[in-house]
Amino acid sequence: MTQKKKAELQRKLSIAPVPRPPDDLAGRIKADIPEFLRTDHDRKRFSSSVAFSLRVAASILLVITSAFLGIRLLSSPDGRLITESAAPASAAFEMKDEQAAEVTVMIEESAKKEADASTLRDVSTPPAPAPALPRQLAVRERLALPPPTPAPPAAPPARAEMAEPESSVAAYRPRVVPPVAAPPPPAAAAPQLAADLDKASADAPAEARRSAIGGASLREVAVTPKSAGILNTVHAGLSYEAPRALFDVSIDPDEFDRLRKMVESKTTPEPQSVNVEALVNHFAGAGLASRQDVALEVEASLAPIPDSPAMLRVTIDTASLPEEPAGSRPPAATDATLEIEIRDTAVAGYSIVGSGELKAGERILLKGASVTRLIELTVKPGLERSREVARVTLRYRSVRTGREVVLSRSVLARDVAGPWTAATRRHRLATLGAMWGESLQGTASSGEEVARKAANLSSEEPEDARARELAAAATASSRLRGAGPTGSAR
Amino acid sequence: MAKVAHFPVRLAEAEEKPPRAGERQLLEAIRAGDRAAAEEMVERTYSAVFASLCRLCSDCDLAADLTQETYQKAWAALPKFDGRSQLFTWLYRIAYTTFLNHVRRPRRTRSLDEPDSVEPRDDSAPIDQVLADSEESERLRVAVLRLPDDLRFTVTAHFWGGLAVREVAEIEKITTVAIRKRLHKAFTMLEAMMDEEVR
Repeated sequence: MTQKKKAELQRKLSIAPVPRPPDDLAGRIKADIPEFLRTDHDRKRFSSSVAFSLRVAASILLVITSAFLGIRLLSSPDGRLITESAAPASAAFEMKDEQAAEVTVMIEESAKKEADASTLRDVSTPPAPAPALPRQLAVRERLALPPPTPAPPAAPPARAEMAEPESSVAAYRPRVVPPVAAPPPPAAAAPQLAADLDKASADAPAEARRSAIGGASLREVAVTPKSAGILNTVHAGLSYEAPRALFDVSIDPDEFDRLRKMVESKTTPEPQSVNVEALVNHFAGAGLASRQDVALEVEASLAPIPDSPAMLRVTIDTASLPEEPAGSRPPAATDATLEIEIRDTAVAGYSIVGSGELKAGERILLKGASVTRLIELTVKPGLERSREVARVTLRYRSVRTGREVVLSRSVLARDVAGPWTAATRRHRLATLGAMWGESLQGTASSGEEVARKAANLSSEEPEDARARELAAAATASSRLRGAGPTGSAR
Repeated sequence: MAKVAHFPVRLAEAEEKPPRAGERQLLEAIRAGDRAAAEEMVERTYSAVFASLCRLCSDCDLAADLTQETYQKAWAALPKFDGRSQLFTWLYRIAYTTFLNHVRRPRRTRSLDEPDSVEPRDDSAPIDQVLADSEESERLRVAVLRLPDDLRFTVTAHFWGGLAVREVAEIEKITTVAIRKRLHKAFTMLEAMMDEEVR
């Protein structure tokens, strides 16, 4: 395009004549000017709209922050909000009713405080007015519970004995003594909450309630009403007895006491009544405070008694509690499965100490729990030391993180061939306990050998009460029975 | 040609009223609800708006209607006008959009009596010259309207709306260099189209 043509085109575009606007156009346009031209209103309205939106956003943030802080404040110091009592009631352990869980936590805390107080004060002394509990009041208001009614006289106190202090920290085992018959008083107040809890408890299948923590059963605890009227005859928070079994392994905490009393009274226990699994778990005790949710400990060694099969120990410890448990323990994991795979290419035979299967599961694992499974292994001769003999796999879903965790341990031939004396103290105590139990059953070596080795263990650590207990009990039983039968029926 | 406004219209009035002289105060007065200020704004700008629309649609009656519609939209949009651009620039943008909306509307039935071409109201103008100019202008107008959107707006805003290159660049949010490139490209295309029509 030449400059000339361009200039010509520009000229045509620029100077083209345009007719003047109609005379009445200005009038028509002016007539359209709106009566209210002020745009201040619009601007203010716009500003107020923005301000309103900002206020709404700020309110939402405030509500969320308040809810978060509220939950944090209502949680116990270790941050637990979920309690074991809420879990089995929902059977599937889904915290669908967070408020109910919070209330349960506080009810249980209240029950615990009340129980502590009741053990200290004279029975004849009327309960002193309890201080106001603003947290409980807040929850009561939030749940629109009816106002508390005056306390009924002579309400039975809750029983939640604490375990006696043990001398050995390593062997510490929390023990919750089940309360004596404590019938709940008639629910005079908080009927809705009581009804809800009743319904939840009744709706939960019996099996689910029992197996929630390895056989722990739901039990109602009567909470002594606060004379100040904060929590009046509230239907109990749900509490638990100590679990009697985990992963199909009996962990009855009373078994050793029962047997000890029998042998001390020179009464021979019925062989079929001896619960070897419970003895193993009694002497294996609880592990040290675990930083994990769940810890898996696998150890193998030769048997404490010569010419006996090697012993494989599988112990699961859940996270320890920050304080001594009384009425409730928070869950550490759910949907836990334990699988012990024995390699038949390396093992000639195996035997589970006690009963049960190599694969077991628990829907809920509470904190502060421990369980030990012992398996006798007879490995094939001439096995390579690096050959895998067994594999232990524990799967669970962490309550804290919500993630599924898989812990797997491999047991090699050289582990199984390790001397018993080189094993950990926990392993030695557990296997000795098993030997003692089997000697009582008449299916294992003499109790004298067990007593001697237990005495050696006790002498190594005089503060270890369990070794001392085992040495004393094994000595008594060996004297009672004389030389125990030898050989194994398995 | 005494009664014919030439573009840019404000060229004649520029000496008397600088483009932005008192424009801010005028806007503030309008926002404060001053009707007289609004009328003054109309007086200042409606001729240019009408002229640009008249060039776009080549129908003065229609241009008058579109001008009226432009101001109606302007009153409604006034609260959102931030005053960063010139008032006429803002009005031209509304007028151009109004014109495009009109073009894109479904065709209305038109009377056969209505003239299609520009019919100057100035009866005193020489008829031959008017007709010649009118024919040439119409061909050019048709060619301009056949340009692509961006080129068409640039050409019409600059030549028919009387906006400076910088103002068009502000509206289009591009550089002045880009506007000049657009103009150059538009000239090339217009020349081709005009030549094609002559052949």
